[in-house]
Amino acid sequence: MKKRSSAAAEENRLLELENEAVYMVREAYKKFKKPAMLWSMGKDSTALLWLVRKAFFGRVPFPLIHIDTTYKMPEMIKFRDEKAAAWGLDLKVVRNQAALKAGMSPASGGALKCCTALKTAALRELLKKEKYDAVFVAIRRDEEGTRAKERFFSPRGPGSEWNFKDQPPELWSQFQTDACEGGHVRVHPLLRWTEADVWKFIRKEKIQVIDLYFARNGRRYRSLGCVPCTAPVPSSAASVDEIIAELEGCGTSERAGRAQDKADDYAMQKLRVEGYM
Amino acid sequence: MPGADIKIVIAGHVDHGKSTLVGRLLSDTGQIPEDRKSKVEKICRAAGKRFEFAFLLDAFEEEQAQGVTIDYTEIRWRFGGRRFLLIDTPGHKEFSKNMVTGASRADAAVILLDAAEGIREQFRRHSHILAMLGLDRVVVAVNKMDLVAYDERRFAEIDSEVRSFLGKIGLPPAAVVPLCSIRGENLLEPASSMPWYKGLPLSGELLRLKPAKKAGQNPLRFSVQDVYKFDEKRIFAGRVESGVVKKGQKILFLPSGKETRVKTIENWPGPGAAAAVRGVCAGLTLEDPLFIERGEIGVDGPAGGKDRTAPFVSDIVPANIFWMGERPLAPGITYKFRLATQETGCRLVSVENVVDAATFEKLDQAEDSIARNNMGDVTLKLDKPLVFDEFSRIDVMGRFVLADDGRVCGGGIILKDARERLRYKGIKKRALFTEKSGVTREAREKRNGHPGFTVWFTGLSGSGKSTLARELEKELFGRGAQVYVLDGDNVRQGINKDLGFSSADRVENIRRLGEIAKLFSDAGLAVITAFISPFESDREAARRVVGAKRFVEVFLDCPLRVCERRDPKGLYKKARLGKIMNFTGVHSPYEPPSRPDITLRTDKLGVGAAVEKITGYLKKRGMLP
Repeated sequence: MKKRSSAAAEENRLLELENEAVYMVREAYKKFKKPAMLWSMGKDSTALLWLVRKAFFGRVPFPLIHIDTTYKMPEMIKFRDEKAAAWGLDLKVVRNQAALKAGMSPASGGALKCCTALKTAALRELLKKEKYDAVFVAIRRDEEGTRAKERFFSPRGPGSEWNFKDQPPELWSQFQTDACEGGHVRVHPLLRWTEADVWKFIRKEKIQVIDLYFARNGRRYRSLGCVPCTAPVPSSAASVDEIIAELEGCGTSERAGRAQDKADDYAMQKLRVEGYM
Repeated sequence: MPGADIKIVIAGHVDHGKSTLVGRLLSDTGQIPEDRKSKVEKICRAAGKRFEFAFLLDAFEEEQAQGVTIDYTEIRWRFGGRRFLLIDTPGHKEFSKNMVTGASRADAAVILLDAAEGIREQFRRHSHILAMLGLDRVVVAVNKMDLVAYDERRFAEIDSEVRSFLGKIGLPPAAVVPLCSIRGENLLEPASSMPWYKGLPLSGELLRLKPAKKAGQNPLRFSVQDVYKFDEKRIFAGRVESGVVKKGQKILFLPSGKETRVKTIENWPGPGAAAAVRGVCAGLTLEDPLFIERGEIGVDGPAGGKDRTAPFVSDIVPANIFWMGERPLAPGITYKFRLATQETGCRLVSVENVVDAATFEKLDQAEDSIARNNMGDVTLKLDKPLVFDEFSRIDVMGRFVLADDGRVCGGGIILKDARERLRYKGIKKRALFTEKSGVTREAREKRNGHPGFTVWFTGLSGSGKSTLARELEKELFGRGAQVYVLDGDNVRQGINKDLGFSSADRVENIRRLGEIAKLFSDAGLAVITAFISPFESDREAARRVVGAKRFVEVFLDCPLRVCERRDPKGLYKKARLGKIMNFTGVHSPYEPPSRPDITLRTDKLGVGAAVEKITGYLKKRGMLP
C-alpha cells in the first residue's frame, strides 16, 4: 500500500514537471515573435524536444538550432539527421567558421576559450543575424551552481550577456516575456528537473536516446559533448531502468566528465555570463 | 495533481545563516555530490577560510567573495522517506524581489533568526511577505545558539517575541527550534549542548509539516492560453487552474459569456483523455465553432441565478500588493495587470493603507503610493473587466502581477472581503454578465470609476475660485478621476474670444460655458468651472443644461472687502480707477445663490479644508468612489 502511494506520488511529481514545462513552451511560443530551440541531441534537449511535440500535438512550430563545433561524436550527428527527417524538423546547423579556419580546438586554445569561440560566439552571431527573440535551452538547476540560480525566462542583453545580479521577479507562471531591444530571452522549461527526472520522463514516454548513454565494457557517457572534452564514467547501467537506479544512489555530479567546467573555479559563471547555455 | 515534494522556503534577515543551514542539511545527509564539495573545499582553502556550507548554494564568485546570497535557488532534499524542495533566498533588502520569487513557489517556510541579534528588519519583512502569500505552515529556527552560550533564558525570550510578532500578522509558527547550523546542532539530531530543549530537532519539525492541501472539489477554471489551428481541428490550449474539465461537459467562457460543450480533450501521442485535473495543460476542442481568445476563462456552467461558485467579472480589484518597482506604485501611471492568461492595462485608484513591511507600522493615511519593498491594501481599476476569484477560495485565480514598462514590479493577492468591498463601492460584482456593445454612459463611468459631473464655483473676483479649482483638480486627479478645469483664461482666449464684457456678452459667455460643461460631463469627465457667474438665472440655466443630478453649485462666500484686499490680479484697483468697467462688486451686482449645494466661507476656511469639504460632499452624492 505504501509502495503504491509513493509510486503514485512519483508519477504526480513527473506530471507536475511535465505540465509546468509545457505551459512555459506554449507561453513563449505565444508571446515571442521569433522563437527557436537549441538541440544538442543529448538526453535533455531531446526530452525537451519531445515536450515541445506534446505541447503542439506532434508539431514543432519553430526552428531547431544545432551549434556544431565539428568535434561532436559521430553518433550524435547520425541521430540528429535521422530524427530531423523522421520528425519533420526545421533544423539549422551553425558553426563558427572563422574560428574553425583559424584552427580553434581544445588542444590549441584550452577548453574555456574553445567553448567560448565555438559555442558561445557561434550562438551569439546566429541570434544577432536571425533576430530570434526567445531561445529554448534544456538546462537544469542540478547541473551546476550558476544554472541553479537561473530564472525560467531569463532575459539576455544585445550581446547575449546575463545580468545575474539583477534578475526580474518571476511569480506564479508570470514570466518575463519582453526581450530588450536587440536582446532575447532564454527559456528554460526543464530548469526544475533533475537528471533522474529526465530519465524517468524518457522511460515514461519511451523516447529514443543515443546509445552512448548506456554502459559498454564498464563505462557509459552521462553527458554528451565534444569528443576531446567529454569522458565516459565507470558504470554498468545498460538500460534506462538501470540508469535511474544508478542515479538514485549517486555521489558525483553529472558534469564531472566535462572538461570546461573544471578549467577555473568560476569557469561556468564566466562562460554563462557571456551567453553560454 | 499535488506534487510529492514539500516546497519549503528559507527566509530571514541577512547573515542570520539561511544558506549555511541549507548547505549543512544537504551535507549532513550526504546529498552533496563529492565533486561539488571538493570544489568548495578548494576555494575555501585558497581563501584561508574554514569550509563554508553556504558556498554549496552561493555559486557566484560575487556571492562567495562577499558572503551574501544574491539570488534564490532550489535544491532537492530527501529525509525520513519524504521529499523536500528547499528554497534558499537572499536576506538583503535590496534582493527582496528574489526572495519573493523564491517564496512564491513554496508551500511552507522556515524563518530563521540569529539568537544574538533577535528580530531584525528583514525577518519582519519576510514574515509579512509569507503571510501575504498565504503560507500557513511555518517553523522558526533560532540559529547561532552558540553565540549566546546555548542560554535557555535567551531562547525563551526570543521564542515569546517571535510568537507574539508572528501571531499578530496571522502567521503563528508550528514550532520554534533553537539550533546552531554551522555546528550542525539540533538539525538532524537533538543537541547535547541544549539539554533543556525538549522539542524535536529541525528535521523532525519539517517531517511533521503536512503536504500541500489537495485541490478538493473546487469549481472549474480553465484559462485559455492559445488557440492552435494546425489542421482542420481548432484546439484551445489552456491550463486547468482549478477543478476538473470533462469530455462532454457544458462549459461557459468568461468574460465573453459564450457557452458550448467540450467535444474532446486532445493528447499527443495517443488517444484523447476523458478528463483533465488541476495543473494539467490540456487541449480542448469544442462542439460549437466559437471565437474564443487567449485570456478567456472556462467555468462550469452555467448554473444560473445566484451561483456561489461563479467567479468575479469586474474591472475593480481590491488587493494586497507587495511592490518591487524602482519607482513607487502610484496613481496616474498605467500598469500591465496579469492574472493567469489574462492581461490588461490598469491604474491605481486608491491606497487604503500602506504597511512598512520592515516595522509593521501602518504609514500615514495621506500616503497615496507604495514605495519599493513595502506592501499595502489598494484598489485597482482595470481597463476592462477580467475574471478572478478571492485568493482564499482559489489561489491561482486570486493572485496577479503588475508590470511597469515590461518588467514585473508587484505581486498581488485578491482580498478575502472582495465581495463586500465591491458591493460597498457600488460596482457590479459577482455576476455572469456580458458587456453591451456601444459606448454607453455606464461604460464610460465604469472605466473612469466615477460619473461625469460639473462642479460650478461661483463668487466674487478674489474669493478663491481659481485657487480652489486647481487644488480640487489636483486632488481628484490624484484619486484617479478624469478631471478638467474650465477657467476664464482657457475659455476667453479661445472659444469665447469674440465676446466682450457687456451684459449681453457676459450672459452669452456663461451660456456657452454651461454647454461646454455639459459636453464634458457627458463625455464622462469631472468638470470644474471657475467663473464669477454673478447672475442666478445664468447659473440656473447651466444647471438645467448639465442636468441637476450632475451639477454641484459651490458658493464661495467671501466679503467684498476681503476680496478687494486680496485683489490677486489687481482688478479691483483698476476698476476703482475706472480702467475697467462693469466689474462685479464695483459697478455691477453679484447675486448670491439662493440654494447652493455647498457654501464655503473662504475668508475663514483654508484651501485644504475647503477641498476636503467638497470631496466629502461629492462622495456623499456618489460622484466619487
